[in-house]
Amino acid sequence: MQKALQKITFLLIILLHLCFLLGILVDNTDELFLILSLIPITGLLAFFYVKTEKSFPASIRKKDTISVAASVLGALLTYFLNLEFDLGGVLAAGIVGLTGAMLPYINKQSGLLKEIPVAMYCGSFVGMTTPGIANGYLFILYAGLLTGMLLVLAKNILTGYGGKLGTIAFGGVSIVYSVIYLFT
Amino acid sequence: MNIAILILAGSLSAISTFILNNHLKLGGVMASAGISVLAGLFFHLFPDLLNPFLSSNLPLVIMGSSFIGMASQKVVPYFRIISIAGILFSIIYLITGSFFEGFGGSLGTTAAISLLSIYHFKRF
Repeated sequence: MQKALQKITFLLIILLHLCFLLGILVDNTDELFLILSLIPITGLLAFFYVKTEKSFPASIRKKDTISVAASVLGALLTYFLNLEFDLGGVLAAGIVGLTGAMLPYINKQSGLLKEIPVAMYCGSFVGMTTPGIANGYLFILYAGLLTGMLLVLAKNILTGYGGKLGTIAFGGVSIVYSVIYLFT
Repeated sequence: MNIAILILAGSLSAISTFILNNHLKLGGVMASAGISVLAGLFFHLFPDLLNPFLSSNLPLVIMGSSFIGMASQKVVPYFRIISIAGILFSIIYLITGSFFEGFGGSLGTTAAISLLSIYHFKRF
């Protein structure tokens, strides 16, 4: 079960990257040069995914729930700071990420606190969603929750590569957005 | 000129985050969030210092390419890969347009696409 879910998450990440490139293509259909420059990028990305190691050891534990909670908290805090204090997404997410990164220093022995920074920073990307897309805290709550769960499932995927957290946050936001768009 | 500044900023931000993360051992989150706070705070305090295009896009480019620098040195051992990924990030950011505007995580997705697509150039 765990392995199957992790495989689905891996495929979801590939799908998100392809959808993103497709989105750029849709946006620039009249510019041939841009379309041509996307072909090598897509090809190289596909090459990376073919070559990358795909092993999914079952490793989800109870304490991973703290990652989900931290992701939701990070998302709501960032959205709140951005909306109420008009700080802008970058500053709001940076403040939340920096706060999260300080938490393990409270007790260096605690394994639980070490899980928080990454999850909180990942959640903060969800909170950078503009009010025009998110239309309320409930959206951010659901997107943060889904992002937290995807983050736990993606624990063994693309570890150590940059951009992993953002892709997961993008997955959380776009899935919740699509579900709301389709069913309301 | 504006575009050249964005591309340069993307590359510099990725490299500085990578150094803070791996060489100064701050960890990816603190390195990237620190760089983002500096960029965000600067443009929050001085919104009219640069032209409106740079004031609105530069903090986003700096934050987005700092995600590239969150890569671990064990996985991406070369500066040149990080700096080229930073440049590629800025280029993809510029052509992304408005399709995913306002979606959280779109900067991170761009960062992942930039880094992963040139990752295997490390052997050259």
